[in-house]
Amino acid sequence: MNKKTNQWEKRPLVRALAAAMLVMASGQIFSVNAAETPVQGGTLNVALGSDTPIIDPSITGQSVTALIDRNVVDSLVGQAEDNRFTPWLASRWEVNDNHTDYVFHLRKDVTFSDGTPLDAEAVKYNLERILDPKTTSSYSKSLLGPIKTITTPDAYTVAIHYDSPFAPLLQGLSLPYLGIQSPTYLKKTQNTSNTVVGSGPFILKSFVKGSGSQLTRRADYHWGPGYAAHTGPAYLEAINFKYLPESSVRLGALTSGQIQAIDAIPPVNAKSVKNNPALEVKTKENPGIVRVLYLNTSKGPFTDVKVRQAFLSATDPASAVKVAFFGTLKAADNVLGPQTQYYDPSVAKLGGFNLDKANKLLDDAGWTAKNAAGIRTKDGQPLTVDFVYDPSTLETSDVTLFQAVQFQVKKAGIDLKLDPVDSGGFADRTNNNQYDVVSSFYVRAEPDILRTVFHSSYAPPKGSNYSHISALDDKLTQAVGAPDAQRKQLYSAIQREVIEQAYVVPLSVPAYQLGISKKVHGISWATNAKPNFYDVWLSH
Amino acid sequence: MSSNPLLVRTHPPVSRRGGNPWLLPKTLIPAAFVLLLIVTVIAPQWFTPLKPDDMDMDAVLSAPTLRHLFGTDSLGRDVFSRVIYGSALSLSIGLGATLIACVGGMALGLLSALAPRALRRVLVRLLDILLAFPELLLALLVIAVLGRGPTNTLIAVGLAGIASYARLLRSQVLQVKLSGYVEHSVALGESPLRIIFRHILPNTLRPLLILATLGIGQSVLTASSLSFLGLGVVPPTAEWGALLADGRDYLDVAPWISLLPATVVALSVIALTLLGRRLQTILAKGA
Amino acid sequence: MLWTGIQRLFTILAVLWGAATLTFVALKLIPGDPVSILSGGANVVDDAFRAQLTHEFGLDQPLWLQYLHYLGHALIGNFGQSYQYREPVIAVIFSALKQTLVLAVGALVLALALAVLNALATAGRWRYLRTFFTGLELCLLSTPVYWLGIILLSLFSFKMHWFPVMGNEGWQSLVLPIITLSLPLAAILSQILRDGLEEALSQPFALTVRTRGAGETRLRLRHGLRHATLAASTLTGTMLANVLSGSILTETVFGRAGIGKITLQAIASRDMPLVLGIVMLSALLFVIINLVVDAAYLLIDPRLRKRSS
Repeated sequence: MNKKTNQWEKRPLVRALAAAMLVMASGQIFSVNAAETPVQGGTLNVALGSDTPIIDPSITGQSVTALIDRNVVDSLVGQAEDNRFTPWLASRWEVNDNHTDYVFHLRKDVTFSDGTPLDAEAVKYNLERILDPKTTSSYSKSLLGPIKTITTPDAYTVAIHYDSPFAPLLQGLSLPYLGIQSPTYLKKTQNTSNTVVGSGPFILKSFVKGSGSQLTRRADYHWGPGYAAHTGPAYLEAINFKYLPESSVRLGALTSGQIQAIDAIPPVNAKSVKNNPALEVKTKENPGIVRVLYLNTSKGPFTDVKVRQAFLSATDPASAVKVAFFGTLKAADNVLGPQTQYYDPSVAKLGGFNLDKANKLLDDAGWTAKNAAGIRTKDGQPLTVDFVYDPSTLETSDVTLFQAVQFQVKKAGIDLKLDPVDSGGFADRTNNNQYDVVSSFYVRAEPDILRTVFHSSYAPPKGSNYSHISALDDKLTQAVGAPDAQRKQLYSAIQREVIEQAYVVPLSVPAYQLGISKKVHGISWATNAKPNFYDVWLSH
Repeated sequence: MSSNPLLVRTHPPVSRRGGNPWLLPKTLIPAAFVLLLIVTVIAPQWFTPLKPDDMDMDAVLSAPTLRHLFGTDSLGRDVFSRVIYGSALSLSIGLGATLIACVGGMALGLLSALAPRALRRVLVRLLDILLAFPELLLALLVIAVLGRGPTNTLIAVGLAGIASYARLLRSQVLQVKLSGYVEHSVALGESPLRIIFRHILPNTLRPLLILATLGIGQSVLTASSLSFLGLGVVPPTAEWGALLADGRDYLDVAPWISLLPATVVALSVIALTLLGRRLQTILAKGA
Repeated sequence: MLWTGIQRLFTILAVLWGAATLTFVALKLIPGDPVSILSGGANVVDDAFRAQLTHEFGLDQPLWLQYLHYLGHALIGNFGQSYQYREPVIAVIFSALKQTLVLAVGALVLALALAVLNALATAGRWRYLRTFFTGLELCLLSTPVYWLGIILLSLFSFKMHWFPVMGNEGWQSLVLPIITLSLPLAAILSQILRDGLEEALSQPFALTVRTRGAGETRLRLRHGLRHATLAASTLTGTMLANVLSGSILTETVFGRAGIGKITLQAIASRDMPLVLGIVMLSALLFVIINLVVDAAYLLIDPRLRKRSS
């Protein structure tokens, strides 16, 4: 002991070295913070798994279009990750309590990339164009709701009036689908499928269907959304979006460094990407309606609520999701995702996997006999339900998920027949009510998405009420315009009823998974669970 | 790919040694493999105790072991039994499609060679039109009309292959027709139907048969391409193309679930092709 | 001569008309209408909008009228607007065609080059070499095209980083797709060329050329190859079809935008004008190629020139 301390004291060099190392170590800690200064310039290459045939956000509902156009068009208001609204093209606004009158006061210093200044007339032109049937806009139009009039009290003020209350307008206005485009460009362009001109931080240089898009920075941009991390032009000089449908190809491009960001990482590779020191995975859970199976209540075995509840009880989402997604996604327990406004966590207890309960319900419902394949029968008819889906809109893991569910419900004696069709066939089967089960999910932070999916006026072919429900009409219509506290109650009741009546079977909570190189910094998330690129910068 | 990739050779190779050509190893080995395949089609359960659709959700993407000779796939299903049962399905589709193509081709070919002049003109044009479509595109259109599933895949690939067989048969029939043989029979006053069945068909069947043996392999590949494009059989059906398509996403973590089935596919098609060629050589020498 | 020309023209028109009609019928038989596809999914649709789209696409007219309209427009070269892209069909097809053409021509050239080399080197010689190559060709023909692509991609792009993975940039991204597409073609062509060459080399004229002192290489190149090419020319139509089919698969694997992808999407979306446009295009190509081949035949084999007149 003594000897050791003596040695320590006798070795000033060792002490000096140790001290030096301490200094260096602390220097490391500080240098990590130093690396957070954004770097100007650089081109970000992003590979996407899906493509869009149309780049004009006002005439398509494609999410890829929104992802790309968020950089090219600005919105009247912004919505931050915590769901509050921030100024953007409108520096302030007023909404009356009924949600029937909205007044927006615009910034005075905004110009579109073709030089046209932004004013109230430009906004009015954009919105009226979307409402005009000749434009054949559908999703954007549905976001605007039943507008009665749009007026411009002065050069920078826009007033929108509804006859009946419409609360979801602000949220809709924050989306790229209602992004404001240059009226000069719109007026002189016959066909807007391949071009878009807005006031955003980037300009669309080229768009090639099936290949991708190229965006270049706008140097004089200084009117970003209130939720952004910086002001002024974007850091990146350019963004290249490339369309690579094969997930293994996309992943290979990321790991080999040819691409710095990809969407939709194949779940089986998520672990290897996370373990890769040069890469990281950023996940953002989708708000809105989770991936569910819609049970068609208007015909077949699912007219009987007991059969629907049995189907719900026979499904074990936790186990199916684990197999299909290798732990990268959560199982769902409610029709809405936890990130959605007015999501009610107490609904989770209502459903749940219970094979015995499923068997009992089916016995009670009269499906007591079983055929040679183990499927229940009643009056000689097997309990077969047809699950129609379009594989081109799904990932491989989704189809794996469906097969896992198929296997699970077979144990209760239900024959879930998988019936893949192409998009034309899908439209045909849903419009003609020739299905028992379909599946989809919707990204929307606003719970009004429930109305799009459960109101009787949207039964196919008019919309996506695949379960053919009409029982929730009153509550849904009331909730559109009600004051906030009442909306919360109504949406809670709706969520409860959807699960208690087993109109749908919740499966997984979809999430946007961005695989990026560690050189990419500044990714933030829009409320439709898409990455924002305005604040992004690349380190060397 | 085309159903006619391997042309009929017009001259027999020099035989280097004597002995019964049917018993040479280069005939026996492919024949034995094909026989094995036939047994697989008839009785797949002899090769594996496991069922192709049984999922073991705890043993997903596991490597080959004694119990799971080819490992397990993304849903814990035994890949080896999926290959075995898949062979049954794929080969049946290949066989059925070739049958349809043959029969259809024969009918169209005969008609376009022997029918009265006006009808013949039209039929030749029709043949040209069918030939103008790439085979895969034709199959795609048929599937789009009929829907997916093994039977429809069979029909689609079969219909798409008719044109090639028809063209071959037509040229064969024309050759026979031009030979003095048929003129002789006509002079003798034999009825047309008798001429067709007794003289024309037997002489034209041989190349058709050989083409068909080669064609089974190609039909299997076309069917698997359809499955790869997501248009063939429906999950969870095991079929070769579907197995290869399934495995494509897991190449880096579990390459065996597509490499091993792909090897089986390649070997089977090779065996069928070799057998077809041997038949051709042997029969050509005999003729 | 003129009469043959007119007959030929008539044949072309008949083939085109037949192809178009067949496809029109097929598309009308397929369940699903484009209006629903375009306005369905996450989009909300009201009746007025649906009626308007139906009218815009001319789908509210009786079938026979739609058919006549289509034919009439096609005659003057106007194939209408694609439902999905809302652009003239011709524009959509040509931009996709540019991509595929590069791939197809490259693959054909490479396949020919490989096949010629292979046939020249192995015809009638060196038994083991010949068996090896024949075996290789057999393997290539027995493996699905898309499989080849994925293997090449895994090996050369992911593992060894020799080539870029992505779709349409520069010549490097063309290498792997062209190789994938060309290999099965090269296999077929090799076999035909080799067979033809062997047959030609065993003909009496070969003996004559040899006795005159010509080297083996010269014999093969100048005389044998010419005979062999005849056999290969007949297959050109099939080769074109192969390349088109192969391109659908190759483009899917390598993420290239080309005719293959456009075709698949067009059928899936019931984009009738686009599908019809594509069918007419391939029928036209086929007919043109046949004409070119016939002409080439006459060039290659002088004997046929006399016979044809």
